[in-house]
Amino acid sequence: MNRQDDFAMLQRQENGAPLAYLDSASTSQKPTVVLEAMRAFYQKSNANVHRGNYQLAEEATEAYEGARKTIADALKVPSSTIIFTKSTTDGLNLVAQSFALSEVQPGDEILLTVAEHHANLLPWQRVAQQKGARLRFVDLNANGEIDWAAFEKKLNQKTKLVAFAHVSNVLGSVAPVKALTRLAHAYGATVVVDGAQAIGHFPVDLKDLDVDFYAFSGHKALGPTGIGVLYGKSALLEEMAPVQLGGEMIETVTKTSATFAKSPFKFEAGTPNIAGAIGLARAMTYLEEIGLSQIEKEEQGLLSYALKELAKLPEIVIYGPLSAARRSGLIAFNVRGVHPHDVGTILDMDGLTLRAGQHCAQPLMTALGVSSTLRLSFSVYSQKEEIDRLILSLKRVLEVFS
Amino acid sequence: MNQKEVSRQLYRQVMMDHARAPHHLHPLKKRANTFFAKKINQSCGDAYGVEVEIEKGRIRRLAFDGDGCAISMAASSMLFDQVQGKTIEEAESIIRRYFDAVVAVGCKQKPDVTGLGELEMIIHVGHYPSRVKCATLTGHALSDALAKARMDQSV
Repeated sequence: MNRQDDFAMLQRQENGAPLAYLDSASTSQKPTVVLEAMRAFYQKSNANVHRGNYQLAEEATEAYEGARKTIADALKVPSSTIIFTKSTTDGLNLVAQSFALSEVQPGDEILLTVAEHHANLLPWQRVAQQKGARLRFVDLNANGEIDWAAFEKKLNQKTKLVAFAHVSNVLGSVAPVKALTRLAHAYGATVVVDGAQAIGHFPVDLKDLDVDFYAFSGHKALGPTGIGVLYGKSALLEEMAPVQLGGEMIETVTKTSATFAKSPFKFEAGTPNIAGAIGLARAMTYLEEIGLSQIEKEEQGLLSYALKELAKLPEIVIYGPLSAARRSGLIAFNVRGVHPHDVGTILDMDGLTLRAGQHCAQPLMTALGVSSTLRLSFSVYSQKEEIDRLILSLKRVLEVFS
Repeated sequence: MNQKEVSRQLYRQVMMDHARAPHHLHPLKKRANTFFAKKINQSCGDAYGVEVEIEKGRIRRLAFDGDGCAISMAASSMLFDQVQGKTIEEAESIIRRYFDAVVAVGCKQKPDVTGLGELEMIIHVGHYPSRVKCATLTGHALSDALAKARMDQSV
């Protein structure tokens, strides 16, 4: 089985060497079946959704709502709780503007971690500012990992909302979501989870996790850009006011007033990214066909191997847990004495595409005491041989800088 | 030269020598007749301060201070070597020609490397748009400092 054959992008040469795409945490490559599904929609079933009475329109609507159901089933929740958004950032901003701005009161607390991506930090900064609430943070412990042991100490009766990443986009650590959610609920807090780095890497059962909101992006899960999902518990979505207003999210409209549709349509104003939704659903099916547990197992193998090989080079500093078992598919690291951008450029010369930068997590960079790091990340098409190439190239970096 | 060979022009020995022991890297002194400017690279947070001391319209001494990637350290060292002792106008012209050469490389055109000395090596950074800022950051700061010098009648 060569899964790489499913991904045309991987045929590309990078600077005269075969591409080793190791930045899937930034965006993933797309299997041909996903692109075909989107093309087929535009070429055979394209019409606007929820509007027309004609056969073609019914077909388009079925394709779009079918996509919603595929995704809902994969996550073990009802279709009405799956809202199509542009991205994780879009979803988190929607929760902030719709839920938090009305529910958070002066004197309330919002609990985050210092490791959050800016998309799961800035919206809460604004809510706190506008509502007179206080932001609190779970910091890093002495091992440079998120101090979940301190989470409960920072919860109290004033905590209105808790927000954190399922998988940290820098530390690679997997948060104990179910346990954290149970704790947060005991204090009456609402739980918002950034699932951008989780979906597509291991099984996620939103019903079992019992979170209140969960956002993720299609493009990080083998789907196209411009589509994402926000999950919200029915009771919460029912009470929330829509942020984007316009067509298709209404029941009746007069000159001076409007009543809104039910969820999820209430939150999907205008013509949606129909092809994007279809592409995302096809991507989720592709992932389910391999099996999320199988994907998790393969990724664990790659992570173990990478961690072991990187540990052999004393100049490499790894951020986050040193054991694969506590990680999902990414490893952030630095080469002592060499600026990550220099490492990144030399790796690029060898066809290896890794991210070098601040990963939209400046407070975390500060907490780690670094200005930027490299990041290696896997997806279903990643291979052990790419890790071997990485080690060789890192040795070349060490020679150049010796 | 194919793409791979061209890309390996960066990080050659001469460039690495400059990166390891940059010329003109000193804490800034802010004496009389010195003009100062600072720049930050948003993509990585690296920051550099630059100062230039002018006497009778010429660069008597110049220095940069800060920490960053090898490309930024080497480029600063090489650029400052080239403009040392030149008039303000000559220095500004060298900086402009350096930037133009980097852009030319990026557009796959033949760069004009007249008077650029060892900078001829660094202009290959034009093949890596995300690193161009690294190679030109102190050049921009130096331009700012020289512009201040030009406006000051006393030097």
